This record gives sequence, C-alpha cells and structure tokens, in this order.
Amino acid sequence: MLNEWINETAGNLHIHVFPTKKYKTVSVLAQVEQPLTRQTVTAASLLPQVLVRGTQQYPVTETLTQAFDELYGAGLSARANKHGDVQTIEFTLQVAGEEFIRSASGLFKKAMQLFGQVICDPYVSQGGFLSSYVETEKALHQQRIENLINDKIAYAMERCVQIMYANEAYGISRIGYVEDLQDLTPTSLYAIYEKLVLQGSLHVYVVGPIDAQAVKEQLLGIFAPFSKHSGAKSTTMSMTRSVMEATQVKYVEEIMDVNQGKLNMGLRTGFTYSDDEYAALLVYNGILGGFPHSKLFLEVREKESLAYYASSRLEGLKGSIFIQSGIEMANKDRTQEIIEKQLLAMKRGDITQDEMRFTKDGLLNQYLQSDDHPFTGAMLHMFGRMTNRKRSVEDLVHDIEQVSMDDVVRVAQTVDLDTTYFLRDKEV
Amino acid sequence: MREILYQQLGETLYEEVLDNGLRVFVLQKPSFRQTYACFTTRYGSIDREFIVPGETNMRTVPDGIAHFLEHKMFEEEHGDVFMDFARYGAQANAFTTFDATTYLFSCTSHIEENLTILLDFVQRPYFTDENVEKEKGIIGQEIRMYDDNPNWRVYFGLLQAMYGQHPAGIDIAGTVESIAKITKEDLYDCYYTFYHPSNMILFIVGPVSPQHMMDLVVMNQEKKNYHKQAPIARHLPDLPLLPENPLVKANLAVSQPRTLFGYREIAITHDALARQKHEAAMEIWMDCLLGKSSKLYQSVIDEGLADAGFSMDYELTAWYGHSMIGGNSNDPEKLRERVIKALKEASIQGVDPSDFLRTKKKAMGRFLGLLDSPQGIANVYASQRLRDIDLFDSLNILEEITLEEVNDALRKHVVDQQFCVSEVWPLS
Repeated sequence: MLNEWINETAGNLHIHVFPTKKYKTVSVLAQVEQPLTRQTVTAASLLPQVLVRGTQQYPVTETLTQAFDELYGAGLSARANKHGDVQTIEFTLQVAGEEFIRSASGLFKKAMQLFGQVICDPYVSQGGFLSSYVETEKALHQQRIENLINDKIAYAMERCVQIMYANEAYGISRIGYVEDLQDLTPTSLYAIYEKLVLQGSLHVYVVGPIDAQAVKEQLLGIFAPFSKHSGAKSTTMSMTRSVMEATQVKYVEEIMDVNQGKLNMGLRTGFTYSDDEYAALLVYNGILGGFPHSKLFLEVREKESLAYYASSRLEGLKGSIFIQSGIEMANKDRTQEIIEKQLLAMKRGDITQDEMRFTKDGLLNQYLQSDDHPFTGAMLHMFGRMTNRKRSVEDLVHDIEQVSMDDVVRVAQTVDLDTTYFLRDKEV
Repeated sequence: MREILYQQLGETLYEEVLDNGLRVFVLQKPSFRQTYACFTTRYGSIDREFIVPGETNMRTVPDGIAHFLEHKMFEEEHGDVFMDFARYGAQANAFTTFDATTYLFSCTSHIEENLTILLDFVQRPYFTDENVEKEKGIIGQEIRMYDDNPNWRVYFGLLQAMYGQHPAGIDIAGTVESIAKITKEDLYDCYYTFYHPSNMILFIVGPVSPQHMMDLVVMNQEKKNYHKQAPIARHLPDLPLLPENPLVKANLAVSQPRTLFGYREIAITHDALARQKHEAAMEIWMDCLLGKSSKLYQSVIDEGLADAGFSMDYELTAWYGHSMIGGNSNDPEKLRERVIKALKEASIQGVDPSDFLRTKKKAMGRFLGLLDSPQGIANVYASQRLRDIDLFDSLNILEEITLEEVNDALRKHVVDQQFCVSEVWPLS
C-alpha cells in the first residue's frame, strides 16, 4: 500500500483516500462547510439529526440503524461542528476491515452505500423531510441546547467564548438557538438541506485497509449529486482575524447553585494558524498552560493547592487562548492574581530553558501521536483550506523545532486579556 | 518470553512472568508512531480492609485512599514526576477504578528512559506529612468538580442504591471528610500491601522490539531485590442480600432530570472464563432490547421519554455485578416502566433470533475498533487480565455464544428484588 493521500476532485466533490494496513477498521469522514452565521447555525445543527432518521430505501429509523448494525456494527455519526468562523456538518463512518472477519467480503462497499444514502438520499415526503421526524428532532434539539448548562466546565467555557466574541461570528453557539428552532418546518429545513449540503462542496476522507482505486470509483458513483454541481464557495474567505479591541477587560460573573466555582479567562493574541508565528504561539500556550509542567498547573495547583485543573487551550484558527480552572469560590481573587502573574512572566520572558525544551518536546510528541488517529490528516487538510496555510504533521514538527525563546517572547507581547468569566454560587 | 499468536486478529502478544511475579505484556504495533505503556496494580477503591504484610489483624483505611495514593506517587524526593516525563517528551497520567490503579505514559521518542521512569516512580514511594496535607486541597477540588457533574452523581447514586455502605457503593475519590483522615503512615501501609510486583501488570504497545523491552524490564526489576510476598489477605464484606435503599435521589443545577436504573447481578462467580462469557451474553441481550436499533430505543425517543444519550452498560467482577440503563429523561418513572415491561416480555419470549445474530456481528466489528487504539487495548487488556480475563479471546467468545446462553443470562438477571433507581432532578 502507498501510505499517501490520493486526491480527486469532480465538481463540488473532493475525494481523499489514504490506504494503509496500519488500522483494522476503515474510517470515513464526509463534511460540508459554510460560514458560521446566526441565520443558518440552528438549521445546520438540526440537519444531521434529521438526516440520520431515514433514507428513501430505509424510511424507518430503526430499520436504517439495523442495516448499519448488520454490517458488523458499521458505526455512523453525524453532527454539526464549529471550527473558527466556519460551521461544518460532519458525517463519520467506521467499518471493520474485511480481512479480519470471516465471510465479510463486500462489507465496506455496502456500508459506504448506506452512508451515501444518509447524506444524498434522505427520506422525503411531500416536498420536505418527514414531519414527525422534524418535530421530534426539534424538541430533542431544544433540550440539547438547554442541557448545555448541565456540564459546568463546558458551559463556563462556552460562556466565556460567547462574551468575548459577542460581536463576531465565533461567538455564535455551535448548536444554535432555541428561539430560532420554532420557525423551521419540514419543507424549509429541506430547502436549507438542498442549499447547504447538496449544493455545498463535500470533502470525503477514507483511511484504512482499502483498495484506493476501487474506493475512489465507488465514491464517484455514490456522491454523484455533488460532482454534478460546481463552484461552491471556498470557506477560506470567511475566516477573520480576532478584532483587537482597545476597550477595557470584560468581566462577567454568573450565579448558579454550584459546588465549585469556574474561573475562565479569554485572551486575544496577534497571530493565528495562518501566520508564520503559529508555532511560536503553540509554544507560548504550552509553556503557559498546555501541560502538567506548565506555569498554570505548577503555580495554581502544585504550589497553592487551589485547583484540580488549571490549564490553557489555544484556538489556533482564531488566535485566542482560553484559560480554565475549577476553584473554591472564596479563592477567586487569589487565583486570578496568580494567573495574571503568569501572563506577565510570559511577557517579561521569565521562561526557563527547561520550560522551553519540555514544551517543544511535549508538542512534538502530541503532533507525532496525532498521526495515529485516522482523521488527523483530514483535520489538517481542512485547516489548510480554511486558512490558506497548508501544514502537515511534518511541517508542524519542523516549525516547532525552530521556535526560539525570542519568538515566544515576541508572541507574548501580543497576548492580552479580553474576558474574565466566573461561575459561582449564591453566597457572597 | 511466551509468544501468543491471535491469527484472526493479526496480532501477536508477548508475555513473560518475572521472578518477582510481575507479569509483562508487549504488543508490537510497527506502523504506529506512539508507544503506550501502563503499569497497573490490582488495588482500587473497594480494597479498604486488608492485612498489612507483617501484621496479623485486618485494618480498615479511610475511603478514597487508593486514589489519594495514586496522586501522591507522582511526588518524589527529587520533585515532580511529571517533570521527569516532560524531560523525555512523554505525556503521563494515572487513574483509579474500583479494583485497579493504573499509571501510564505515551511517547514517540526516548522509550527506554520513559519506561524506566514509569517503573521507578511507581516502585519508589515518597510521602511526607507536608505533601500529604498539600494534596488534600487538590483532591478536595477534584471531589467538588464531580459534585457538580450530573452524570457522575446519577452514576454514584445508583451504586449507592445497590450497595449502600458496601465499598462498591462508595465514591472512588472518597469524601472531603474521609480524605482529611489520611496520613502518610496509611499511605505507606497501602503501598506496601498492594504495590508488590506480583500484584501488578505492565503492558507495552507500540513500534518496539518485544525482546528489547523484556530485557529492559528484567534488568530494572532485578536491581530492586523484591522478596516474594504472600498472597494479599483482603476482606470484602458480603453484599447485603437485597439493596437497602433502592431509590436514591439528588437535586442539582441542571435543566432536565437524569436517571439510571438497573439490576444487581445474582450470578456472581469466581470462574473468570464463565464471567467473560456471561458478560458477553449480557451485552448482547442489552443491545438487542435497548440498543439504538431496538424497537424500545426509538419509541422512548419519539415519545419524549429519552434522548439519543439513552444507553446501557454492564459490569461484572468476581464480587459484584450490575446493569445500568438510562440517561436524560423528562419522565424517569415512565421511562423505567417502559424498559421493565420490555425486559420482562423478552425474558418470557426470548430475544428475537435475527436481532441476536445481528447484534453478535455488531459486537465483533466493534471489537476490532478497539484494536486501533493503543491506549484502548493496553488499558482494557491490563484491567481485564487482573480479573483473569484475556481480552483477545473476546472475538472467539462472541463467535461461539448461543441464543440460549443469551436468553438464560436475561432471565436470571431481571429480578424485581434486585432493581434499583437513581435520579438527579433540577433544583425546584
């Protein structure tokens, strides 16, 4: 097997196949993408839920699910996602490799056909999706949106993003808004499906023990509706830079009946995935809070015993960094002070050689390990499309190795606190 | 070194039992980038009564001590173990379950150094009054974090309903009050009772040479001069014949009720192979009757009684076992009635033969997916091995399982008196 990507484009259909014996299952990712907007986000995040309910061949959900199960548990998933200012609808399929199961020849082909039906040939009645499916999924989606408060760590993170990006596309909720659900009907949702999915550009990635040529031919057939159209807009144009606002730091405190306070801080930086400084930004974030050897973990957790978790995460597409920690309510000011001290230390270049080396090695390890995941290539390819900056795992490894202390300190000068969010209990 | 070939899976496992009793397993994955290793001891939260080597009487230690010990192992006289791993580019972690504690790392370079760090830090305890006190704040925040998590709360609520004050019903991390009592002397006692190599397993997976890994481990262990240790005398109280408090409720800041319910297992056996077969049979009927392609699943979703997160799980050890069914629900009681009715009908009529065949295939296909995750294989293999079960036999067991065995498992499991319920409700 070749162990390299084989690509083919036909109209709006883009096929990427990676044959490899490394895996015992075949992984498929098919996705469409559009700019993240308030107008489309709710419908787009509801769509995948409705699409997995039935196809023309298997209109009944139970029967469709059974058809996948029959193929040695071929696993289907469909969901809306958010990458920077882009919303994607992602369908994945995982199928057992035929050679590992007795009498399973043709397994992948059959699973792929079913998968194609879910995307291209949903069950349609009276010019729209089946109304009972749409109504049920609307109710479930409303609950899904309301349930965001249940996971306090994720909720606090989401709130911090929303407050920080209140006036930018990135602040739009990944799964949409309850008030926008009401207006969606079986026919209006179908019209949105035609526009967002069928007329969009579809990227299909297949990774695993397969015959690349045969798979390519098959995909061209299954996704023929996409190859008939062309000229779908690229998502590159929609990725914007973070706006650096000269206003003062936003502070929002929210009260809920919780046992632990959640302190989240959003930082803006001057660089993104598309810049040469991206590798230095990765190292900056790693030294600050990406690892158990990082400043946040050591200062907040190990030295002061204030938290179980204290870390930072880089959102590379937007060039922002999010710090999160779970603490005793009364320790908020102290924790905040310690975190701000670390940000200052980064600006002053108060970084040891060990911190630098441990972080670079830690990042290299993460990127090299990501190569053991079948969808890493697809993710990097997508980021390349969205930012006009193509990076492979090898490129990232190379760039990280080149980062110097000066590079990190230069990046640090562009990092500024934008938003502090604190989720706390009632008592003051 | 013993070589075990699993022909159908295309995997070869290397095994060696060292003089000090340590069992070492190496699985070669030549095309993977990462090496993952876990070092696991058969010691978890349920082991609270035991005889310390050299003493004669049973001792009861505070709840949560196995997990506390796991945290404290990362501190050494020379400093923080995370730093040692960071020096060699590895990512390290650990976790504690009811019956095991696992220390692990993954890396893409310096495998020998990292493996040595793993073996050495787990075999070199260093506790002081001061560092034990310091950890109480950190673990206290870990406990608070879980206090706010509805999934965790409903899960432990059900264990509490099933097992009451029996160790199987106690939170793995203990409580803020129970960990306050832990002293360094307690930690040393637990350590010397449960961390002898004869109570442990080392599992290594990655692009490594099995012989080289074995040699390295043997040399490392020989230097440490472990003396033989008699089998550990541990005492697990008998389970109460019936659940003492079959309904447990809690209130939390959530938007929707969440419930889990299930039956305690009566068919408890010390025969590991019988247990492995029983577990497979249980998982098959549960998937047939409650899984995503079952009639019941789709109907409870369409009627607004559950959402897509409705799921089930089965756990079986040599001492206790149980099923767990549920998820978010606006009407936990009605959901429960529907499930019980379906289970009772099926226990009379038996599982549909075509559902049985399909689900069996699904389980086989899904098993292959596990083999694509180095971390997945290592963690599951090691924890099962400590329960005397060989994970790689799973495919054969699935192939051989019969409908009669599945129906028998179902009939024996659905016993009214063993039924328990846990609910988490929004704050009123």
